Amino acid sequence: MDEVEVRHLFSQALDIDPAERVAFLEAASSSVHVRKEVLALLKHDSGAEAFLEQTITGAAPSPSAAHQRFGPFELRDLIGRGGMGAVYKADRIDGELRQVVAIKIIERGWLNPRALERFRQERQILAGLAHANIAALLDGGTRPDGVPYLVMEYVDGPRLDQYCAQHGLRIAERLRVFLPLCGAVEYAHQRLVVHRDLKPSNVLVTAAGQPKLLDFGVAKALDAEAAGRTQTTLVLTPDFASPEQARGEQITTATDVYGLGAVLYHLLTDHPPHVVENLSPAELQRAICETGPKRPSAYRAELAGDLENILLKALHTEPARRYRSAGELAEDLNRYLERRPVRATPDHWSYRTRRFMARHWGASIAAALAALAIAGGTATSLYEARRAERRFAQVRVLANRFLFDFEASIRDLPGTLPARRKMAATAREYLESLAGDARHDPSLTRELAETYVMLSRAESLTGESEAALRDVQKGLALLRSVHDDCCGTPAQRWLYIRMLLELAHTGMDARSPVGARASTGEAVRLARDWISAAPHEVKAEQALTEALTSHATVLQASGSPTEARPVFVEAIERGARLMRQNPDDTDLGYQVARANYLFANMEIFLENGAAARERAQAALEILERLLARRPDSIIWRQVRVMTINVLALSLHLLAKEDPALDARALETARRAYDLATADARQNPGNWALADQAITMTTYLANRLEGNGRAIKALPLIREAGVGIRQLLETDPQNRRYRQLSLNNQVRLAQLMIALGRYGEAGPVLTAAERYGDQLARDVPNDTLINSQRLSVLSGQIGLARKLGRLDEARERCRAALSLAAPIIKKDPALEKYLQGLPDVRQAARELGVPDPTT
Amino acid sequence: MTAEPARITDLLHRAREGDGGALNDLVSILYTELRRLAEGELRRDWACHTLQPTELVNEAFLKLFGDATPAFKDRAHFLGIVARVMRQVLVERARARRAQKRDGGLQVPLDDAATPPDLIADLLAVDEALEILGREDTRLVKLVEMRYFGGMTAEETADALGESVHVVRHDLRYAQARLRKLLTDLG
Repeated sequence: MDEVEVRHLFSQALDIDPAERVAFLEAASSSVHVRKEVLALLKHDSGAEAFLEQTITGAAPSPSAAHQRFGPFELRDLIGRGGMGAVYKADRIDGELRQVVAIKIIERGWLNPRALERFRQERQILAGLAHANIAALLDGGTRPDGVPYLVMEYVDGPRLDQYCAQHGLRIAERLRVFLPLCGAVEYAHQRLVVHRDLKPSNVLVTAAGQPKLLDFGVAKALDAEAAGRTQTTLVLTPDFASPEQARGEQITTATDVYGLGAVLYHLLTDHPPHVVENLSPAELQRAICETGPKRPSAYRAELAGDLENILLKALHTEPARRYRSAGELAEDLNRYLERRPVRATPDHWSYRTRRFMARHWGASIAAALAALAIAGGTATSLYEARRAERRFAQVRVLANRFLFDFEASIRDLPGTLPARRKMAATAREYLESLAGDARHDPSLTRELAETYVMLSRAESLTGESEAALRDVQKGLALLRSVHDDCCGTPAQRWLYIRMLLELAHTGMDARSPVGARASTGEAVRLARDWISAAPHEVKAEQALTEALTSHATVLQASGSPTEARPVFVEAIERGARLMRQNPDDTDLGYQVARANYLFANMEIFLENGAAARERAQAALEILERLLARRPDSIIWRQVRVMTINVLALSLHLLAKEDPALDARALETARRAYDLATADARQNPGNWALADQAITMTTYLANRLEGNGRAIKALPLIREAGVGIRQLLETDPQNRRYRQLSLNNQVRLAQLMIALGRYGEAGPVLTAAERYGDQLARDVPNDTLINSQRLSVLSGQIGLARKLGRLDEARERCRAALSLAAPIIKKDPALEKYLQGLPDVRQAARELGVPDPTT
Repeated sequence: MTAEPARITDLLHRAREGDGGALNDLVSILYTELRRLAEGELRRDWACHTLQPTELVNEAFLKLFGDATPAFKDRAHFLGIVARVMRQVLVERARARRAQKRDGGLQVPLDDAATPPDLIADLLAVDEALEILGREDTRLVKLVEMRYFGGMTAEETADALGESVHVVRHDLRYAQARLRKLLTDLG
C-alpha cells in the first residue's frame, strides 16, 4: 500500500467536512486498501489528542493526595481537575457522622497570590449562595502547611449531558432538566455573582434528576456600583466561551446567558457551539466572535424554528441582543414547552447586512484587544517566562492575521475606512511592542514595514497626507534596514518595489512630489534587475509594469510629458502581454486599465483627442469586465469614473473637428458625475471619493458652460466648493485640496464674469489671488499651481477691461506673462497646461504689452 | 553539576550548527537537570501537586538560563531538545516504577503512588508506538515529542522547525492518528 498516498489523502480529508470524506476518498483513490487505511486513521484522529495529552501528562510525577487529612476529612479519589484546582472526593473521619464531601484544593503550579485571592473569592461567593441547584459550600480552611481548601456538597451523579444521553431523554425532557439551571444562574445574578464558566462539565445531575451547578472557581462578584459589569481576565474554555470573553471585553450577566445557551446547545445538538479543535488562536477568535454558532437545525432538523431561534438569541455574538436575563431565557423555553409563541425571532435581513460590516472589523479589533490582554505585564516568574514566549507568538499571529487576511478582505468594501485605520493603528501598536524583542528578526521587521504601508494608505484616504507620508517613510526605512538589493526572495523584492511606489504616490498626494521621481526611478531599476535575474518570474514582470506606470505618471506630473510617453507605452505593452498570459488575474487587469487611463489622461493634456479616446476606451473595456465580477470594488469604480471623464474630455477635443460629438461629450460627463457623486454619498468619510465627486462636478459645470449654459453650471461649481471646504477642514495643508480650492475659486469668478455679474466676480478673484500666492510660496515652481494663478490673472485682466481699468489690466498682463515665461522656457510642451495663457496673450497684444513668451 | 547559562547558550549555538559533541553535552546536562527536578527537589514543597511536563521544562529552562534569556530561535530549538530528553526521563521513570511493582516486595513510596499503573503502561506503550513510527519517519516523532513532552503549541513547533503551522498541524494529526491506531493494533 502506498503510504505517501495515505498520508496525502489523510491530510486532504482533514480539511473536508466529515460527512463528505467517504465520497471524497472514493473519488480520490482507486485503491480499496488505501481508502480503508485513511478512514481508519481518520477514525483514530478524533480523541487522539486528548488521549496523548492525558497519557503523557498523567505519567508525569504526581505525588498522591490520597489519604491526606483536611480538617475532619480524608481525601479519597481525584474526581476532577480543571483550571487551577483539583477536586477530590473525601470522607468525614471524626466519627461524628458519615459524610461524603468534595474537597477542592489549588494545584501547586497555581499557588500564587492571585490564585489564592481567587480561591478566597470563590469561598466568599459560595458562602453567599444557597440554592437547590447550586452545589453548596459546607466548610473551608487552610491546613497548617498552608494549603487552602474548600469543602463542598458532593453530588453523586453524572454530568448533565451524560445524564441526558444515559436516560435517552427527548428534547422536551432535556429542556425540563435544563430549566432549573436558569433559575440557579438568575439567583446568582441577583446576588451580583456571575459564574463565567458555564459548561456541561460544570453541571451534575443528582439521582433525583436535579441539576447542580458547580465550580464557581472563576465566578466573579460584581461590584454593585459597576452595575452588572465586570472586567474579564482571559479564562477560556474555548468550546463554550462567549465572544466577549474571547475578546477580553467586559463580562456581564449576558455572558452567563450565553453560557446557558451554550450548554443547552450542546444538550440538544451533541456539539459545542464552536468546534475549536485544532484552531490557531486567531482562528479561534474568529470562530467565536464572528462566525457565531452553526445553526442547530444543521445537526438536528427538528430543532428548526422556535428552538433554533431561542438558542441563537441566547448565543448572539452581541451581548445586547441576547436575552436580558437567565429568567427571560427560561420564560421563552417555557413558552416553547407550552406551545405559546416565543419571543426569539430570526435576525432581520437588514440587521444581518449591518452586522456584516460590524462583524468584519469589530471582531478583529477585538481580537487584537484580546492580544493586548495577553501581552500585558512583564515576565517575572517562572510561569511568565514561558508565557512571555508564547505571548510573543500569539500577538504576532493575531496582529498579522488580522491585518493581512483581514485588511485584504475589507479593503474594497464601502464604508470601511475608519475601521481600516483603527485596525492598522492597533496592529501597529502590537507589532511595535514586539519590535524591541526581535530587533534582528527580518521577517518581523518586514511585517512591521507592511503595517506602516497599510496605515499610510488608510491615512491618505482619510486625507491625512502628512501622517501618511511619515508612516510610509518609516516603513521604507525599516525595510531598508533588512533589504538586500540583489538577492531577496520574490516576495521581498516585490514588497520593496511596492513600498517605493507607495512612497512616490504618497509623496505626490501630500505636499510635494520631491523624491517621487527618484522613488519610481529606483523601483523601475530594481524591477529590471529582478527580471534579468529571473526572466520567467511573472511577479517581476508585473512589478515592472506597475513601476513603469507610476514612473510615467510622476514624470508627467512633474512636468515632463515628453519623457513620460515612452514609459507609458512600455508599461502598457508589457502589461497587455502579461494579461493575455494570465487572463484571470484581476490585479493585473486593473494595472493595465490604470496605465491606459493615466496615459489617456496625459494625451488629453497634450490635446491628442483621438489617442486619448482610444486609451480611455481600452481602459473602460477592461474595467467593465472587472466590475462585472465584483461590482462593489471601490477602487475599480473610482478608476472607471475617471476613465469616463477622460473619455468625455477626449470627445470634447474631437468635437472641434466633428461638432456632432459635443452632445456625446456632455452626456458622458454627466454619466461620470452621476456615478461619482453616488459613490461619494454612499461612502461618507472616504476623501478619495469626495475628491473625485468634486472633480466630476467641476468638469460637468465646465462642459455646461462651454455649451452656453453657464447659469446651470454655477450651482454645480458652488456644490463643488462646499465639498472642497469640507476636505480642507480635515487636512488644511493638503496640496491637492488647496489646488482644488484655488481652481474652484477661479471657476466661480469666470462663471460670474460670463454671466455679467462683475460686482461679485471682483472679490472672488482678489481672494483667489491671495490664496494662489500663498500656495505658490508653500509649493514653489509647481506648474499646475502657476497655471491656476495665471487663470486668476487672466480673469482679473478680463474684468479690469470690462470695467475700463486699462492700466490695471496692463499691470496684470505683465504679471501674468512673467509668470508664464519661465514655465514655457523649461519645457515648451507645458504651454498646454497654461489654460489662461491664450487670453492673456491676446489681451497683451490688444493692450500693447510686450510678450516675452512668444 | 551546575551549568553556566553562558555555557548552555554556547552549546546550543554549536548544536544548532551541527556540532554532535555539543548536542551530547547539552542533552546530558538537560537530562541531569530534568531528572533532578522530576525526582527529587520539588518534593520538599508541599504534598499536593502535579508536576506537568511543561512545568518541568520551564523549571529546567530557568535553572539553566537564569536571566540570560536566549533569543527566540534558540529557545525554540532548546525546547525541541528538551522535549526529547523529557520523553527519555518520563519513560525511564515509568520503567523503574513498573519494575518496582513487579518485584512486589519493595515499598512504593507513598508520594509516588499517584501515577496509576495503567497510566504507566499507557506511557510505555506510547513510547513503543513512537519507536515504531520513528522507523518510518523521525520527523513525525519529533513533532509529537515537542507537542506533548515539550508542551509546545503547534505554532511554536512550526516556528522551531521553520515550517508552516498548517503543515505541522496536519502532520501532528496524522502522527496522532497513527499512534492511536498502532496502540489499538498492538492491543
